[in-house]
Amino acid sequence: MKTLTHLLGLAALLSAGALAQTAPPTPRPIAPGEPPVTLTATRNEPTPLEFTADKLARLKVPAGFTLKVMATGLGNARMLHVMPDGGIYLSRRAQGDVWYLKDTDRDGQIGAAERRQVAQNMKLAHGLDVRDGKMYVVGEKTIWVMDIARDGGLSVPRVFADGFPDAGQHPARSLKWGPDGYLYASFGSTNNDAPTPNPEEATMLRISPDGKTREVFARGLRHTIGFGWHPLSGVLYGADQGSDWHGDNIPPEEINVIQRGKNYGWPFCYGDKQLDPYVNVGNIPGKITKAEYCAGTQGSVLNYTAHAAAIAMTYYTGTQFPAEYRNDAFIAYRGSWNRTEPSGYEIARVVFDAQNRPERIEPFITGFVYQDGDIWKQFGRVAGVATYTDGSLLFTDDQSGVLYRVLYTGGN
Amino acid sequence: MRLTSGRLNAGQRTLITAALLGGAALTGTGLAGGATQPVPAPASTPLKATAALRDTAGQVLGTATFEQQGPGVRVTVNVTGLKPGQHGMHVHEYGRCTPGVDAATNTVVAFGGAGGHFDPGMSRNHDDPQADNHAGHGGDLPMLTVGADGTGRATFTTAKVSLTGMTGVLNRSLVIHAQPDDYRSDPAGLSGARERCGIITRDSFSVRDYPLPGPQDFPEGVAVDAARGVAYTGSAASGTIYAVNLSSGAVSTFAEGGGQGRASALGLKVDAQGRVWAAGGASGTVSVLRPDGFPVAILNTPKSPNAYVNDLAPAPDGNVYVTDSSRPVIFRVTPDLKLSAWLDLSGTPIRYAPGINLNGIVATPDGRALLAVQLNTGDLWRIDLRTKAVRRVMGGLTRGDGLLLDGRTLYVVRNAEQVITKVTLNADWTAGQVVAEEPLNGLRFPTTLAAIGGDLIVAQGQLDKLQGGTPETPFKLTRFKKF
Repeated sequence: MKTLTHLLGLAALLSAGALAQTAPPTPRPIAPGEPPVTLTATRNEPTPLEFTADKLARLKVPAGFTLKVMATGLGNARMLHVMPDGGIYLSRRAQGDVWYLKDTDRDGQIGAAERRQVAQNMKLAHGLDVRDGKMYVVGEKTIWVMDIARDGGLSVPRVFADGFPDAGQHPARSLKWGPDGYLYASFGSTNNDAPTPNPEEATMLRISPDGKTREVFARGLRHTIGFGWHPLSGVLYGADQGSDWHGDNIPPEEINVIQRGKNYGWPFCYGDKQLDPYVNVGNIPGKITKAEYCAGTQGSVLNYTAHAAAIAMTYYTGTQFPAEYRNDAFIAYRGSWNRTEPSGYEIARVVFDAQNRPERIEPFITGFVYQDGDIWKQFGRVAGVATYTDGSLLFTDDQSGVLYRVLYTGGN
Repeated sequence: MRLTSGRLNAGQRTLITAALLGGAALTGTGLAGGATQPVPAPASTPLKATAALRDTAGQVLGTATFEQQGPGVRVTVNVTGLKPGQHGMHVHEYGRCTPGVDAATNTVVAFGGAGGHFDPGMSRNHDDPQADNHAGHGGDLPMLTVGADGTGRATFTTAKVSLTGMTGVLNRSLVIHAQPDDYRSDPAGLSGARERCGIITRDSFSVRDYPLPGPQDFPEGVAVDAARGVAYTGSAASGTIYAVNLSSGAVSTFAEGGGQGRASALGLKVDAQGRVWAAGGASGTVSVLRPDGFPVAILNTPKSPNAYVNDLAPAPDGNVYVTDSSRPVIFRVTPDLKLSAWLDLSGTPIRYAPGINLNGIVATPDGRALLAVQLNTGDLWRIDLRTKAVRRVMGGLTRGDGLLLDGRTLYVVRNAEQVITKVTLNADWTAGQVVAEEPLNGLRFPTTLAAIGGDLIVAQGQLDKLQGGTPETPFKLTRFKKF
């Protein structure tokens, strides 16, 4: 062996740096094999029932809380945004429009004269957020912007950003302005559990304040509709919906800490970088093993019952609820159709610990789904969730078009 | 001026000399290559290499040495501990003597990491050591005969492989198999298990590799921000751009690919404001990214199914000039970040032909001209920035990809030729001459390069593997001293 001459004079650098990287997975000449796996999957779509007032007694709320119905007949009532003056914007995906609700007579009800359509013809309008007097709404492949009038009315929508991926199986888009002044929008996968054709699918996108440029902020997120920044830590958390048809408990629903440039594993990995046995390994780019692929992804920070289907998330920053609720998150789990015993159909609370880290997820409002003899039935698909100006919590049922309000009345 | 075609021609054969040493004999007396292959331009140091041959337990039980002789290589092998008789011996594609997958059985085998036989002629056929590289693997060497004492020795010269150019074997592996080679059966002549393996490593030559983290990175562009101490490199496959710390080697994601206008990232440059410019390839875009990686602007060229925005060059006039390898136009981005067609090449001596046309582009420091290389013809063009007059500077730079102008020295990265060619230009950039050609310690389809003080850094893109085959990981940038 001959002695190597360090022509570059880089000997010090060579020892310092070259070993700092972990070796990447080795692409194989042919995709790895995996043993066969068999599973039992169940389609169990609980029989839907129209909301009627007599069903309210079935709903369970924690001690000290009271549940009221604020409005009915709202149609496909999806996402909510509450203005400082108590005005409520409501998106209706099926109708492709936005409504403005305001309890002007302060009777706790949104009467017929207190609701009006303020924007329309926006296909699959879903997520909405407000910044600097403008309303931003995201639909199938477009984000629109509207000027907000003093009376709550909206101008004719203008295209703010366009050319987003096809919606396919997951047309519930959402968006929120981030603390950095950029618009964050999530675009779910067109499919259930395979790599997507458009690399902007199954991502969180970050969009410039003028809407002209954008980047893929994070990927491997199948359908993270509910997301937001913790009010104290500023950490971005998102609730992701896992794949269908992989059994009653795989994959669990996830809460992720969403960071720039990271991959959250879908469709190949779930939870704490677990390998999903029901996804074809041959689809992994680079013909690497599932274990190698998952090792390069980010795990979740909390998991919840599979198929519960998080659809919205909001942090509770009001003062009406007891202090321990402050800065916790509420998530609307719209409910399963792919589990023997239905999951979701509830508002859940994400409890944060003293260090502002998510500690657990617990049910908050339940009872929309129940077993009647052998038959599962449900009378509410919960969707939007928001804090009202008085510190009560609002949420919607998009099946019967109901707006619910949760008040804390304990201690009185 | 010298021209390297690098392509092996069928027909004529080069004899190899076989030396009988001790109890070992080399079977066969003739090996093929391409006799018309010209002698390469000199490298910065003589091309010699050594492979320490290990057994599967990692113990060194032999040595092979390689010395460039004209277009071919003189190979000397000396190995012990093998079963008496004949053993298949081949150059394998990858410089890895690790366990790896044998595709036929999809199982991990000893020295499988070395991959299949080195096949620069893309013959996809195992053949005898006399076969032309288009008929059989370039790595198909004569069998090694092992004597009764278990020692095999051979010395021969072959023009099937080289230490530089398209048939270069630096940083590939020499593998000795358990069985004789029938010089016929695919993929390896029924030569059985891999018993010895050594990585062919250039003697007295040092580089620094910066490995990248992904299995599908395919780095095409490289640009250096000296103030931040980072090199940026972008993936032709995904558009992701990494920032590589030049001191520690740590790699972070600068900008995730796959978003608006960046399904791919090709040529990269850093401007005076620390912004990163990325040519978007088939996306047809030029992206301008802030120092934090967010796009300031994503500029679209006219929509086309044949967009191929390949490289870009900031010029002293404050504009950035952009090549498109399939559409005969040079685009220009003005300082207010507006893109337009600057020069329609159809009225110039530059003739676009099938394949990849204008690629690497640089501006001369006096601001008078652009220099751009046409990959498929090997021509270097001078384009006057004031008059837009186009003239041919020189030819012979086939597969010319990225360019770097350093005074009057032009470095040309020649991707499929797997070398970096050093050209000296005259005072008005109208003529040039090849003065050296470096394979470093083996290059895998290098694409572009950038300067770091007295060093250069090259992206080993392996873009040939985007069309099929398996890339060698880690993908890497390689830093070396200017030559």
